[in-house]
Amino acid sequence: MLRCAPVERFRRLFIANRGEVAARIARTCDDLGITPVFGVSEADRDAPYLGGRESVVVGPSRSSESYLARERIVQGAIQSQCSALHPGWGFLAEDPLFASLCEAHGVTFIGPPASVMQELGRKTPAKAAMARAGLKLIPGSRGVLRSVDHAAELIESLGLPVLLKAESGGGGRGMRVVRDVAELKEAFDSAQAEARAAFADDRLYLEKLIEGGRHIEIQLLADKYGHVVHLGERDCSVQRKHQKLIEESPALVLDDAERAHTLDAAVRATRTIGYVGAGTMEFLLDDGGALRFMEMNARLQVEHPVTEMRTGIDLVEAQIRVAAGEPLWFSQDDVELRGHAIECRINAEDPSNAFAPSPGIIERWEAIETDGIRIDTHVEEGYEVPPHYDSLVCKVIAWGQDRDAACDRLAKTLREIRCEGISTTIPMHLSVLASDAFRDNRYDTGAVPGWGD
Amino acid sequence: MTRAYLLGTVRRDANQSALTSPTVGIFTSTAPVGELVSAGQVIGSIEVLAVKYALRVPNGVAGRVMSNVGEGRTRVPVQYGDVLFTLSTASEVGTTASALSRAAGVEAELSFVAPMSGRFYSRPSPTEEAFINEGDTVREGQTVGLLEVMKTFNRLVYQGEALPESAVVRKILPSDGNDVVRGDVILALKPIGGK
Repeated sequence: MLRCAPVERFRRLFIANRGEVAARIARTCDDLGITPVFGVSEADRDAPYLGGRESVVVGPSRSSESYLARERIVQGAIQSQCSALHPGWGFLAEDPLFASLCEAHGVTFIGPPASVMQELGRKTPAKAAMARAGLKLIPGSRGVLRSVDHAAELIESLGLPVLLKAESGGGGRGMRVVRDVAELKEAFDSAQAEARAAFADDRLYLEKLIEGGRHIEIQLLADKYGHVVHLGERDCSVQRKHQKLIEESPALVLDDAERAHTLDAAVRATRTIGYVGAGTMEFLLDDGGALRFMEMNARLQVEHPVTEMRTGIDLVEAQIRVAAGEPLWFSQDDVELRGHAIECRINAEDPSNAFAPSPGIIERWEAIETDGIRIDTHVEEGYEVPPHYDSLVCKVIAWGQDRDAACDRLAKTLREIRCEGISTTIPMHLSVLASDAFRDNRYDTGAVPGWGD
Repeated sequence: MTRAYLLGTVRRDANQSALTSPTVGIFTSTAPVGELVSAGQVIGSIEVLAVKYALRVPNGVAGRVMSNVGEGRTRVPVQYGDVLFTLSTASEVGTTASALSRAAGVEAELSFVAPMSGRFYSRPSPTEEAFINEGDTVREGQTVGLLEVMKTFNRLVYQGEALPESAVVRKILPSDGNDVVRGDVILALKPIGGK
């Protein structure tokens, strides 16, 4: 695909993250001729993924004093003469305060404007904006609940079960399932108390609880001039306890008309809210085949390589160029969605022991990229998976002409990976890929297909 | 300055500790080489996004500042964990490193001798002035030189039972960087106070 000249505005870019995503961002920096500087914690100061390149130790291993310490990270970026900062995912990636702190100190935050992030963090106005652009919502209260009685009235028309959620919430806090009207009062009070404690905002809203269903999301890209494109959808329905394990594109369970309608509306909605950069809208595919908007993630997603494999577009490059003020260098018509791509996340967890974390030293590591295979990782032989952070060790992404071809290729590569010293989720992935339930698309987010857990 | 950080400590051996930066930031020292510092004392500051934090010596740590990354410089960019100061935690008061003898062969009423074998330094660092010069008057508690013994810098302090309160330095015998052995005369002195 056509590319513009090298990015002139950024010569040095601060990577405010660690592990796999830090390595991923650095790779695109190398391609663009930008010098990456890693902001690291004490635990990562000699990590092999730094490759001997520049780094700044911002704090101790504990995330709250390093990867989550806004002031220290921005200070590190300034001190190392970086004019841009990429937050990766997790940690401070969706923190509007952090984004504005960067901007206030003259460091370009690679992500949407802080104000947009703030808006997306308030659930009911965000949902209303999405509805205006033509996206379907999960039935529920319009805006926040006025009282318990208001909730009871809504339950009469919606039916049970329902979900009470915090207006400023996230991460499951301030959330309660109500299956019986008798439980409503208690659930309402406790959700309110939890929301007040966690988010200093005790307002709640209500949604019908849709159990199971498929998790489908749409990748969007927007520049600062109102150009918005979608890069297709991803199906992320293989989940364990709300954690995605396998993601793929396209979502074959999705009806063509529903897909086309939602992609269009998602692009419109993205433009309406003034979004900039890479973002993802998450939807629930219900029993009736309708995609219902859940939330928009204002960052790069872990599973973004699935989209890169199908489109040939480097999403990190697009994020950097857009942040530098360049217009998108392609239009919707230029975006070609080819074949099928599938990714599995390999975690340092023992699937045969209730997914117990398995930190430690990787004694042997062999993972080879072949045709149609991409391996994103920060580990190598001798690397110690530290106990302080998340358990993602590696992502393997396979591309094929169709779903079966991609899945076969993925399974073959997984069988050939040699990893000793830690337990990984590879056996679970192989079992899923071999199962009829997965191959025939007969599963939902409620249980992992092909894995009795 | 109301906000403060405690410095980190790394004990290197029985006689030396390093004080490390508690955060990334811009460091300025207020404790020069040679200063005796102790727990709770503010010995510098660090700026994080233009907010200044006092840097305090942590509990259980005291000693002489032997080196200081901020020596001669202000506003030094540092990372978390960088060594900002090294402290000599042993012999820092110097009584063990001082001695007196009326050594023969040196024309002096008093002589100050090396308490241990090691390398003598007349200056705190190669770019600085000597601790004392010939003709100076030394007083009790004053540092007259450094003695490097097994990679540890010991302060030679003019202090001890048999020494007068002050004396005039008539001659400094070893040159800067010379090796001396225990009992070698370092200073030839003329006493001016009594004890």
